[in-house]
Amino acid sequence: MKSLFRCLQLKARIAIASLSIVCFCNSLQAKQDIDVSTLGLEELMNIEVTSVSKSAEPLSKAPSAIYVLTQDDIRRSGARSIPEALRMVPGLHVAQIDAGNWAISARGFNNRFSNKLLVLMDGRTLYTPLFSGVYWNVQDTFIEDIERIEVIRGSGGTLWGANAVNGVINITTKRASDTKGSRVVVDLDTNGETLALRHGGSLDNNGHYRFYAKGIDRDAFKTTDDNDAHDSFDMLRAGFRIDLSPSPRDEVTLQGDIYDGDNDQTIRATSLTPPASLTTEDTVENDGSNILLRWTHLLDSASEWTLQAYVDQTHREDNSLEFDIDTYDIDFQHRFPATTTQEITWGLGYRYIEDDIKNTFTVAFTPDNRDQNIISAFIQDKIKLADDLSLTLGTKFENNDYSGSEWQPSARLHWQINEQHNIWTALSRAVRSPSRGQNDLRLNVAARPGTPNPTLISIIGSDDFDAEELTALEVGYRGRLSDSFTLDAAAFYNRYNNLLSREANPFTVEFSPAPTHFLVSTFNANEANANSYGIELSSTWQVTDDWRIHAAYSHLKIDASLNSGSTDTATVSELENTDPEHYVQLRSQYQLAKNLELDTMLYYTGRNREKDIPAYTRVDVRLGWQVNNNLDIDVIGQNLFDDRHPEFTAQDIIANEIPRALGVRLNAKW
Amino acid sequence: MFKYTSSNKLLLDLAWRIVFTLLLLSSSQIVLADNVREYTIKAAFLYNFSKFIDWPEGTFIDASGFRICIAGKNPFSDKILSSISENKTKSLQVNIKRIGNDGIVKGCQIVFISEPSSILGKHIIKSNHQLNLLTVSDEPGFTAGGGVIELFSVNRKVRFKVNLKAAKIANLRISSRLLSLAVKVESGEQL
Repeated sequence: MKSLFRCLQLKARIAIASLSIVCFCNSLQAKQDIDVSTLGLEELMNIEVTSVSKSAEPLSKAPSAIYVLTQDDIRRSGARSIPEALRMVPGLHVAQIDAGNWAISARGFNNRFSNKLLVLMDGRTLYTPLFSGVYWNVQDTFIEDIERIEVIRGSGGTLWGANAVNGVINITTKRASDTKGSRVVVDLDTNGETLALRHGGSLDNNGHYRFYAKGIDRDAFKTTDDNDAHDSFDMLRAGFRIDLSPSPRDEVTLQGDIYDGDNDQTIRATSLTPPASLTTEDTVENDGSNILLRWTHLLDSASEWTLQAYVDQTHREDNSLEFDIDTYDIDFQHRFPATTTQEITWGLGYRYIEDDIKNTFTVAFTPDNRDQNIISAFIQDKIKLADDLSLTLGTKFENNDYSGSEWQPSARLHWQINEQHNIWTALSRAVRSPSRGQNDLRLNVAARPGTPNPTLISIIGSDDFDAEELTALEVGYRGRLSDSFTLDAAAFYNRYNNLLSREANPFTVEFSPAPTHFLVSTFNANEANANSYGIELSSTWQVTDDWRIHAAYSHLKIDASLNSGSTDTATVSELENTDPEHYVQLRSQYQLAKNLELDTMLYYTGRNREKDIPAYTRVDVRLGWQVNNNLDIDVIGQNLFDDRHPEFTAQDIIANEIPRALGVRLNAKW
Repeated sequence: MFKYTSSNKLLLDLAWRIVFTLLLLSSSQIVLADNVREYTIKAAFLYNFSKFIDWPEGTFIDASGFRICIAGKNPFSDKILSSISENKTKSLQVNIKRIGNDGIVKGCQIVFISEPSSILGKHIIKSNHQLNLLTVSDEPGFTAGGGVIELFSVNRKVRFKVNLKAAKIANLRISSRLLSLAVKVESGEQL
């Protein structure tokens, strides 16, 4: 009942927002088609072109393992959500836990709360500061308005900040000028339905707006004995974006989202009275909102600065934990050519996070509300050593409340052998700052009944827990082997120090809460180390004008060890065995006829030894029919050749197997 | 698939509200501007450059107009070229001329070169100390190879580099206002 009330409240807010945007637009004069020959230089410099044929900095020259998913890739994959689209990124481990939850990582250490990956949407950090992980089920937008998803595997520490240890996922939505008109997407499949609407248009003075609303309803999966798995998921979401050009040299973006939804889960809870360790079916209430303002000022053709500020509010509530987190973030960035051969980018950032947590016996934070301050600065110098050789040097500085000051320097070298072939190499240091949970959380993992007293097993946070450190060496090749074949290859060797370990506390007796119980507990320490190495290959072959094939393979191996004196018993195996050693991906994009597309995707994921999940192969197929300029109809089959299979498990909730899904999507625009 | 659950009810409500919003929108009259194409903007740049550059004395003595020429492949639409030729610059009517393989650029003040590495392109760049042309191209590396202005793109917006040495060789005086917006290239290289 309470959740229904909240939903209605949200709907009222969305309706009012939609109405006010519509009225706002009507009050402004409609914009006519511009005659560019009457515009001045500065105005011309601020107009965006629909596509650029000759780019100044092509992807092939980036000195890192970068992969870009375009809107076209996303559309042709039939992906319904951001995590589904991320399956296409070579070298990324994407595993579904249940109907709404996901585990995603790059280069190892996958977890429901993977903490070595930074995820951004339009400049806003998506992870929850409690665990430094991402609740993927609440991260969404109007999928057709995503411009691109840029994924950097490997340390992005210099520019991107803490947690960009093993990778950065950077989701960019289209500018409002590119989303004019109305679009409705109706998606019906055997596991649920989605309805989404977007409308965009022009404002005065070269300004544009759009807004969207979206409702998702995912049915519960089935358990292995065909019962309801209690993991259904629904979400209502709305958002807007306004892009303005107050002067020819300035560009201002204001955007925001609001969401509210529930998902069912089966969660593990601990109790000192029988039954001691139980799983209960409960419902998570998720809601949140964010608003972001970004101002970019052009100084001249080569230099500009950007000022960005955002507020993000997240609320989540289930049987074991309820929290409210407010994040306030402000960033400044400036790019300019220092000499004819050097380009400098520098920036400053400040983030303030306040949380308020309602503790339970299973999950308890001390203190139950806390403020955090993060100050950061970075500088990067891109030096052109010769016509075909460039060196990028940089460092990031960050000060956080838990581990103090951290430096993250890096050096990257790019050599363009000729028009076809590029080689790059990089040496970098990155850190993963401690999360609030690792400092302040006591997790009562399990209880065992006993006479005269029960035994409680706990993991206890520690103020001494320090940042995890990485030194990474990478080398890569990117090139065109023939007119129709491109290859992107990267190899890495990562050395991690001070990784999280769980060290035994002395055996004690606790009197509170009653009944008096024995306590077997561990505390968070930094006694684990690991080396990881791997290769990532991805290639595109344009077989004919109508047929393109993407193929990718990645291999990963992790060796972990503990410092002498460590009492940890589980971490080494978790670090070494959670990530499959092999991934294969094969995607075919075929143009059957002028208005008919056939896309086939095959993903092979190797065995997960730690979680005892067998290797699996997943096949998705999409048949896309462009009925006319206004209507597309897609028939989408996911996980076609398998009734269901498990992909991952989580520490706190019961995972379910991922079933086959067949569906139809109507995509209308006008 | 369509159980009548509370969330389905919510979805129906959402659908209802979307229809309502659409009705409202269709009653509003929002005129959508066409997407601006890359070479429309680039053509407008060519015309704009003329206002900020002084050609050597005597250039316009018996000129019938201000001539913007296109050497080699023409990426511009007829619509934008004719719209530019309706304008005046330096009190002269703008006219547009295509340069064929004969390479006769006499009477041109600005020449856009789509393929600077072609024979025609190389010839124009090499003999520009006599031709006094404002050479413009969007080919990466154009200014490094002796061209005067190179158009490039940052975040899908058009920017430009000016090679000061090449401008000097062609006897062109570039206004400080234009230079303040440009990436300045001293002789050969820039980022």
